Amino acid sequence: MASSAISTVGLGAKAKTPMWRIRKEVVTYASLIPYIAFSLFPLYIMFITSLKSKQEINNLGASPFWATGITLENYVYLAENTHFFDHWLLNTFIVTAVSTAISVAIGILAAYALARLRFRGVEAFGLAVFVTYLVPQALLFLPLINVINFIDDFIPIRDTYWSLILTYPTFLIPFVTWLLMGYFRTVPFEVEECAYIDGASRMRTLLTIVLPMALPGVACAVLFSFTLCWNEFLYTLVFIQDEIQKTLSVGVLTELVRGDIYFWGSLMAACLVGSLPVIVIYAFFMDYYVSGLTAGAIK
Amino acid sequence: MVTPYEKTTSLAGPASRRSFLRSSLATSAGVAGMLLAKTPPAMGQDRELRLITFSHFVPTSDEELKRQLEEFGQMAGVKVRMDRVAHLQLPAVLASEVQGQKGHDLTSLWVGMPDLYKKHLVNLDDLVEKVGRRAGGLTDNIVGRDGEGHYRAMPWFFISFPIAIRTDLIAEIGETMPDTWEDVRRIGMQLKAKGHPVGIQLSHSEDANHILRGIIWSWGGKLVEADGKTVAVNSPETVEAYKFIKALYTDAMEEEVLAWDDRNNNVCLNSGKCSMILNPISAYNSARTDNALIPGTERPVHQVINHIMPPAGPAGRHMSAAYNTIGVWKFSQNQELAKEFLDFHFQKDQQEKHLTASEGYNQPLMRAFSMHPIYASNSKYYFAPYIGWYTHAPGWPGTPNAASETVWRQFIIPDTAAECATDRLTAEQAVKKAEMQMKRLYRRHS
Repeated sequence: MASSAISTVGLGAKAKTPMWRIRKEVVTYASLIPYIAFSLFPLYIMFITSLKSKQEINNLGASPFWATGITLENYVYLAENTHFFDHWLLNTFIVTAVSTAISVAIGILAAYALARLRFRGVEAFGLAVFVTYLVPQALLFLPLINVINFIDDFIPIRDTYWSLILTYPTFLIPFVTWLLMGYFRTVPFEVEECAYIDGASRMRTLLTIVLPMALPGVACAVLFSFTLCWNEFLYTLVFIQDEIQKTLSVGVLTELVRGDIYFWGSLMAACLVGSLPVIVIYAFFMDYYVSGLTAGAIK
Repeated sequence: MVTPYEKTTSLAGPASRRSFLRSSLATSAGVAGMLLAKTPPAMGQDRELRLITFSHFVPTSDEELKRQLEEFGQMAGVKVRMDRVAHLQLPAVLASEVQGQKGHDLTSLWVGMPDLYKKHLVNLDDLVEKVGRRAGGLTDNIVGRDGEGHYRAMPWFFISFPIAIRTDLIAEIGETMPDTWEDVRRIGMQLKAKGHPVGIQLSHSEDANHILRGIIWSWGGKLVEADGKTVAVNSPETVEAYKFIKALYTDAMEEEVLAWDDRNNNVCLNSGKCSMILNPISAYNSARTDNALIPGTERPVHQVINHIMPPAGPAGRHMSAAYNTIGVWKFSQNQELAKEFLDFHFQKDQQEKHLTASEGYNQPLMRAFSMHPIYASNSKYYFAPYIGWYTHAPGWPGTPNAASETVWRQFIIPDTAAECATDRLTAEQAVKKAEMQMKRLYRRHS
């Protein structure tokens, strides 16, 4: 009995967290609160506004930070009066997934070649890739429409999301290539040499040795490409006018912004739902994303 | 029994290297031929009449237009398709279609675009004359024309800018409805003191462009001469108009109008804050559909909103309006069909259905359609059949053209008026700055 009491006291004393550690954790978490509030504020406003009735949204006297009468009418409007759930969300996902896959695959090969191979003009070529990335979309969409129209004469891709799958890599590949070039340079060449000595071909070395080591960089490229595709607006606007084939960014604007009348509640509902896939994918790949960015930055 | 020869040539069987090369060669030649001839295969040549327009302020207007297009398609035995884009995105889509010389057959155009795209639009002189004769003539003779006076687009409808005013607030202070701009300032000053300012944008918005032009015209000023080429903004009349804008801003409005877009004045009126705005009937209509309430009461705000004529200035009553036109691209493969649709759409019956579906928003430019029963159905619409008397297209007194469209898009008048209102420039300096910027643009387009 006595020994049991002693051991309990002993355990309690052992589990007690020192005050300095509690203070440190409080300070750490407290200092994060402003940043978290700042980061989540747009999402919060979208969420709250999407639950408000039209009357409440119109009422400038009501608090913008809280909803007094919760309603799902904005989500219902989105489902019943637009193609948000049945087409635009799916189209966006298909375009994003396929464009990202194509761009990252090509980008990996291009970046590896520019980082590792030595041939005449390699530096200039690398620079050209970067410069290509800097050309704004607002300049590119006019010449690209000629390309799309030309192809459309034979294969009907205009007004379908295939036109986006074809054109998104024009801005994604230079970006992925530039990002991965820096990352591949951080992979020690000696590791590749070992593979060559063991008889591996260059392609096998890339696939089985270099790529696994560069996975954080590739994940980073995938994330960035995914986000760029998901949010893209201008190409979708000019290449696709068919309501069914639109992606989220343009579809939402076409249906929910009508001159000086904004369907604010449904707009916020659409933005919130449209943001979720990006949030989810970032949450899963956050560690890769961070290490990809930092490892590519230093050698 | 299948012979060895039959086996090698069978579609189902494995192809020999020679047959593979032959079929590859034939396919390549076919594709090359199509590429050189730029002629798509027969399966891609079905006739389809396509129309693009902006997402209308009233969704049922789009639905009715689509219904008419489909009805016409059934009669003509062709497929039809109507596409929409948000109204501020229309120029980007049109630019891409002109660049690629491919796209829709019929297109909605803003007022300066028939001149801007005159090289790419079909001449519609005959059709406008035919439709105009049938409909008792046009209420405006410059909309739809290019700089040479040819119709490059059908004058479609206009969206006017009356005053939308809170009648209960006017009654509370014992005033009558404002008739002049000076009345607006005087009444607005009293209502601002009670927390109900006037709401007129001094910012990058369509509304600001329209209303500020209206004020300049009402003071006898003008942006260009009647030739549509000579910049005439720098005049004593325009300077006086700018001085009035400053006084109106200082006395009757709040700072927020400097950052407003086209939606903010609607919200300001419907939320019960603003006492009056200049706006199409969309503010009233959305207050009605959203059942917006006067704060602190259960009374719907739309019940106390009324529309009255835009105010008069020293030189009379003038206001700008959003004129819309519809044209046929020259690159269209269905030009005649597109013109036939326009002929069909501009019949009295179809026009009236379109107007009804838009809840009176699409005000007709054809005389015979302007006295529609919808305007008598609601006392809030009484102004509508007559506001056209005081309304002009943005390039007035000249023809709206590429230069006036560019001046509009660069928000030269709202920017300089805002600089004057906020004391960053004097009225004289602001007008001179507007003149300098406009002259540069008109030189570029001459």
